[in-house]
Amino acid sequence: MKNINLKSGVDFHIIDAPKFKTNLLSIYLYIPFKRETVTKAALLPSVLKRGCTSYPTLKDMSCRLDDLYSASVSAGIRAKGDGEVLFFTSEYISDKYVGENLTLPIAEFLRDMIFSPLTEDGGFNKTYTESEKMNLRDAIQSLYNDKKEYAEVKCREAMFGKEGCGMFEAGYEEDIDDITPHNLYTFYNDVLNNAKVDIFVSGSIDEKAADDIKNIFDSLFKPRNAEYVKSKIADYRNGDIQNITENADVVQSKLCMGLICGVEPTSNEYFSLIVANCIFGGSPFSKLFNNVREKLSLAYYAFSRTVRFNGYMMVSSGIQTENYQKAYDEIMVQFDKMISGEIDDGEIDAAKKYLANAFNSMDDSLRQTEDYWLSQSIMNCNQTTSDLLDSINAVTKDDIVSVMKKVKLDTVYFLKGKAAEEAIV
Amino acid sequence: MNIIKTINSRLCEEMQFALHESGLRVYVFPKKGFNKYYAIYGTEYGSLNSSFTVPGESEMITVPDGIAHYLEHKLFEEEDGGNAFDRFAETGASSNAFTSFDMTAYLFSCTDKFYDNLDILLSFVNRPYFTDENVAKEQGIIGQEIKMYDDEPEWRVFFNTLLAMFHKNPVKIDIAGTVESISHITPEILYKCYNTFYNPSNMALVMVGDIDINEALKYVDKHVSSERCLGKIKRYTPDEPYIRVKEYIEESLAVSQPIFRIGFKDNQPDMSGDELLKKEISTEIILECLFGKSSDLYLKLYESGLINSTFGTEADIQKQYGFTLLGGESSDPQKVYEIIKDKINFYVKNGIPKDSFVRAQKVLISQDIKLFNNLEGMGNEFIRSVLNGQNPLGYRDAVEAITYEETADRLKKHFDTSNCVLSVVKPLDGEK
Repeated sequence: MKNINLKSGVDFHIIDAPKFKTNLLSIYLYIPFKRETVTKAALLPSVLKRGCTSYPTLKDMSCRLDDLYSASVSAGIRAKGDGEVLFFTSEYISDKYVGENLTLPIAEFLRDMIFSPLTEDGGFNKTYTESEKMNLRDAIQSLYNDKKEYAEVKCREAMFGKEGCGMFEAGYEEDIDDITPHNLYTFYNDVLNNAKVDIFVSGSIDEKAADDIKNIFDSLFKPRNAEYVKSKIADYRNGDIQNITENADVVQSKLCMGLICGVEPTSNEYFSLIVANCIFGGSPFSKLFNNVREKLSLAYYAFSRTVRFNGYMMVSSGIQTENYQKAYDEIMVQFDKMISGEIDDGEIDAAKKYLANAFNSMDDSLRQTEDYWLSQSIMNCNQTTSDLLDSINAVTKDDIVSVMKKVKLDTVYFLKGKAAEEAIV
Repeated sequence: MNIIKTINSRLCEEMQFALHESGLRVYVFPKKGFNKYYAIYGTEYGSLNSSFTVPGESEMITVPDGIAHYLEHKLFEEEDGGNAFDRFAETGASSNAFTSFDMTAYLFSCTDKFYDNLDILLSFVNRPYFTDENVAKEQGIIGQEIKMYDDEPEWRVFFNTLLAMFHKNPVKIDIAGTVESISHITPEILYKCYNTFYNPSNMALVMVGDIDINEALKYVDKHVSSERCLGKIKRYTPDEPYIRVKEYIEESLAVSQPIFRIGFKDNQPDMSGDELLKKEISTEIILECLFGKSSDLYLKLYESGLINSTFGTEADIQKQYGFTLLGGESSDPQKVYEIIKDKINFYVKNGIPKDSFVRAQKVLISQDIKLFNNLEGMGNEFIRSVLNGQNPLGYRDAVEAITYEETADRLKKHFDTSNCVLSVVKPLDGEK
């Protein structure tokens, strides 16, 4: 990868990957993840996607992209620890397969979308803003349609409150009424002028294509004093474990458990944690899979995952309501085994190989590669795949046990469905 | 063994094919420069095939609903009490399986030890081990899987659409069956299904990555016996009437706003190979022209707030069934339904604009090129093409060969607005 610092706060990254049939061009605007702005940030990309001065309607935008050999453009937000990125990404066919170079027109398209939105009276277009406010309200509410995701978001909110990593990236309904075309546009200009900017291009990119991108964006992004926020890892809870039960009119209950790990994202200990997680619940050979699912038949899914930036872990399972205690107890039995060191060498070896497979696979996806390097930039790291493999391979059983001793149960969130006798369909 | 190589120079892609003496079709799509390897091993057997004649017997039998999926779960079980996941764990591969209406497939992806993993895949799929105890155990796990789907509004709205469309075609039956139907499954019935449908001539193995087909064939020789080549399977497929079951179906679930699907059943059955592909492509072109993001209709519905970015379309056109769906979230599904029917009638009468037809072809070709970026996507797509008797590298040619007239004909025949259905999942009383 080639990194070019265009000016203060604006970086350009080029990833050479000619094995793909497409190229990926992305603009990332990084801002702190704050309760005051989370909803506005979530709304912005939807408004910008509706149209710009060169392509004023959805149809105009879409026809233009179809003409560029059906290039795709996505815009949205992605949480990155205590920050979030507003992204604009286009994937388009590389010249070898269509006989013309699309990088310039694609960069122009993104430029128009980002820098020439439709405005009126010093704010965004009113119709588009109001209509996207309604869509955002629906999107926030529709979290409830996916009960697994809903339970995880509620568990996270119970752990951290509606701030920092406890926030729901899509924002909050109660903020929507106060957003106007004008204050949203002011916020957007603030983002454009002050956010840390990362431009990524990957695929088959020759010098001319890289220059085209540079020429287009260099003059538009002004220098800025922008830095990434160093994410703060979650604190341990003072006092008892939180137990929360919410009733829902569903057949299957969801059990979610949030744990605090106390592990810094850039520390060596982080690698011990991901190996440990793989053995505990992060793989199809994990203790949770083999015991909660295979041995006791309590669940179809039971897994754990870790969140790197903020140092916490989530256990998630779908169970029958009356099996709550059984499932909870079994998860804790397996958790205790991790702490007491009831882990065999085969499990450690399998976890390392499983992670190595995931790391080596990353290189086969443009999007994954790009996201990996973006996160590395945000963490101020520069670890290559072979660094990752070395770190994983150095993890010992003692490391696993000692990191698991730091992992403490924080919150148990139970989305309680109907009991079996009511649920017979 | 005779290996046939096909090269598509526009795509810069190659396909290698060998017909194993057992009848198994073996394919390699070489991908140099990628770290990953992917293999998918599938049988043309899914939830649809619950009535059939066991080879060597004369009478037709009907087995409990959900058995193909149950069998998929149980094949991972091994005689020593372990399961195949544990064996893949030793190599670091990531493995999985799925059952659809007409196919069951087992797969893995890895970045190391490809042939060891292939050995595991071919070994466990070819060595069933069912006992009363291990069969009973699965009822709890699959019971939870079924219940999970009962709560998933997207799944419910989808299946209700099928119920409203189909009278007899078993596509309307839930893939996993019901808690009741799976309680009747025994090792004996599982073996009957296995012996009938997991016969090599009913199966294909598709491998993607920097793989040597001759080396891979050694493992096929090791695990796939040519004695198991049983010839043609007698499947029973009931005749499906042209007419829909009912126009409207609804269910109430814990959702935030209504979710809907509009369904068109395929009434041109019994096709395979290029004929089937043509039918699929013409359907996709129509969907793109009439409802794609660059269509007038999409713009109108989106701008009026009747649909949001969840709106999408899907054509599932196969040998044994076929349907096309449109849908997403909407505050007023009935109104969307009426507008869409009007617009279809308009295009049936006036024809699809020629420029949008050409644009839609370009969109499909572009999707096909993009597919070759993704090894898993290639494997999953191509195993379906080969089981359907289609050339995996021939999609673009087929798109270019489709005529405007063929598409117009498909529009009239498939998008019959007097025979379509609307399925709605609405919020429970008391919720929004």
